Amino acid sequence: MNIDSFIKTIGKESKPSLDIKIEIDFEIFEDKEKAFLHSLKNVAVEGVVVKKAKIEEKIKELSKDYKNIASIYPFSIRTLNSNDIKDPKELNNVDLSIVKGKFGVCENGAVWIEEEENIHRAIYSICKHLLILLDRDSLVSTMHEAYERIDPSLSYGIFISGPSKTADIEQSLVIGAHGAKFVTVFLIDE
Amino acid sequence: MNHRERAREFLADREYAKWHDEALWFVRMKRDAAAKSVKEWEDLREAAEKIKEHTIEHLGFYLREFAKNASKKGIKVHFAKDAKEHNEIVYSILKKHRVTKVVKSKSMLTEECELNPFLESRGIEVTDTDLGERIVQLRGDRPSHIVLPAIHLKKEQIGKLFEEKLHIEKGNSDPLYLTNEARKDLRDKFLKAQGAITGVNFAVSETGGIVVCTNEGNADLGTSLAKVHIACMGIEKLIPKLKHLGVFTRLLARNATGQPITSYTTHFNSPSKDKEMHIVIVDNGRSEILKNKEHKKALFCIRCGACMNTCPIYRRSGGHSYSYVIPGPIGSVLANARDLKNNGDLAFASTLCGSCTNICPVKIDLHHQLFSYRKEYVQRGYMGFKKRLSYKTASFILRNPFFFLASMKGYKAFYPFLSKMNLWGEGRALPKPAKKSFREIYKEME
Ligand code: SF4
Repeated sequence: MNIDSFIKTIGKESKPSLDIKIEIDFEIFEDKEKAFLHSLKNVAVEGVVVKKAKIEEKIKELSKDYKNIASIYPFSIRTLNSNDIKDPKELNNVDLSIVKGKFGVCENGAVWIEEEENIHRAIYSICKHLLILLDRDSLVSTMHEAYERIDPSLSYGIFISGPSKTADIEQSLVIGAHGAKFVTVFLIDE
Repeated sequence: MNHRERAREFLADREYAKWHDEALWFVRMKRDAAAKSVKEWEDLREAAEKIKEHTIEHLGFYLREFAKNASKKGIKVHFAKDAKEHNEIVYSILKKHRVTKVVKSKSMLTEECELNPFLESRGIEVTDTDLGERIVQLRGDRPSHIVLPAIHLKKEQIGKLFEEKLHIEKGNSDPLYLTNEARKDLRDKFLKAQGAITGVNFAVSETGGIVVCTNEGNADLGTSLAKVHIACMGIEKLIPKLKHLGVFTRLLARNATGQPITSYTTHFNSPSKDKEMHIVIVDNGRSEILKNKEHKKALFCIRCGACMNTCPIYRRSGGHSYSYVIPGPIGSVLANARDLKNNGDLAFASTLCGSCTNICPVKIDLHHQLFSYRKEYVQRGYMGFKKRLSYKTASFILRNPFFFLASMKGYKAFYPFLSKMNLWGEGRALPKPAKKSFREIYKEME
């Protein structure tokens, strides 16, 4: 069906004259870092503050049992630049993906990831362990503030709040349904 | 069979029914705790209602905007007036790409349109990847809840099912083990699929993009591995602006499962490199509901499932006792909007306690809607003769003081006999008549 006849059956084509007025006196966290770390814990994410100079060292520690480490950033430890491969299915055996987050949300531990340079969106969900690097002072209190920071012209972006999980069998929470089984967030201290 | 008869079947196994009731109540309690942790909760509900109201009143406008913005981003937008058109569009896209294997993440719309059998009969293998839906699919069953599709099954039943279908070890029904086995099996499906179908939680008119919320990451894995992504949505998924997601993402998961947000909240605003992305926008009776002043609010629904978890009837009769794809209070309303004559029994599958209305994040007046469908059902003459007669008789007696007093006396006199007959309800005792009626007491006081 074409758009015109489709919309004709629906009607309601008038352009709204007023914007929707939303008044929400939402919560602001005073100690953002504390709130964020608390939320991360609640959603089964390990959050650690890491000095900038120590990032590589810390990643090494984290990945000592891993063979395949993918990232689009040139960490010495990476074994694969995921942008170099053609078919994302080749990422199936990736143990650790290292990605960068734009900001974190205190109320729920979600991290906004929007990496224009990344070609394969699969790197966020196909790996066993996802490591997100985040600036220590890039935290916002709630989702309202979060969306203020996102540009409506985005192509793709994702809030990740914890590892993949399911409770579809008798309401028992199981971590690691399809996506990453572990998520770690490094809060980078300049 | 009507709802009452199916509910009776469900209740035959008392222990099972109790377990089901408690499982859902547990989810409801988690929701309460999550809602209470947000002090501006009621403001959020009000805002959500306002946004939906506004969008619905300008739906044609926002749809056009959405389509325009999505096309600009390289997404192909299709319009389907009904289920048949929807299925044909999806099939034609898959055919064009020579897709033989599809992975699907949760979408109630594709259930509504019966997309799976349509594609399967044309030689396409469809795998539901949400664990609950996968379980239901392997059983040849249907979801009994919109958020928790396999909530009606016990883990032993699922273990048995996997033994048979996935050849896992015998007698192991540990949820962790079962989930891991399903993960292995489905990972293989993800890697082989050429196409991915997803539902849509929100479509943003301002950006032309869609948002999909999952806990499992199945929508993410599916869409990022396959070469074509088809997202299917009803017209009511639209919201005007990106910033409105701030309201809905705060409400949805908290109200659904008590989590602060879903693990994955993915914004698909363009296809990824060398891939295709399609959005199929479906009417399938929604524009009719939109024209109905009294019932258009039903289109506000964000499918959180909370009205089911809280409903005393749903919890004690199970999702399969409802004849419509969506069960519970909102399902009953939508079923009645579609076909009151054949789904009218669902208007009565409610105690009208109002718990659904109180819990709904977008403030749909669910129990009022059900009540108004009851009235309409009777007015249109759909009610069966026996029931009609008993209501007529009751109305006559209650309006007539002489007959009313006589019947009270009769009730008292015949109570021992009546209580044994149990006319009113199984599992419920007939109320004992008072020793003295109100009138008698009043007279004595004078
Ligand atoms: S009607 Fe309200 S409570 Fe029920 S599923 Fe829809 S949004 Fe949730």
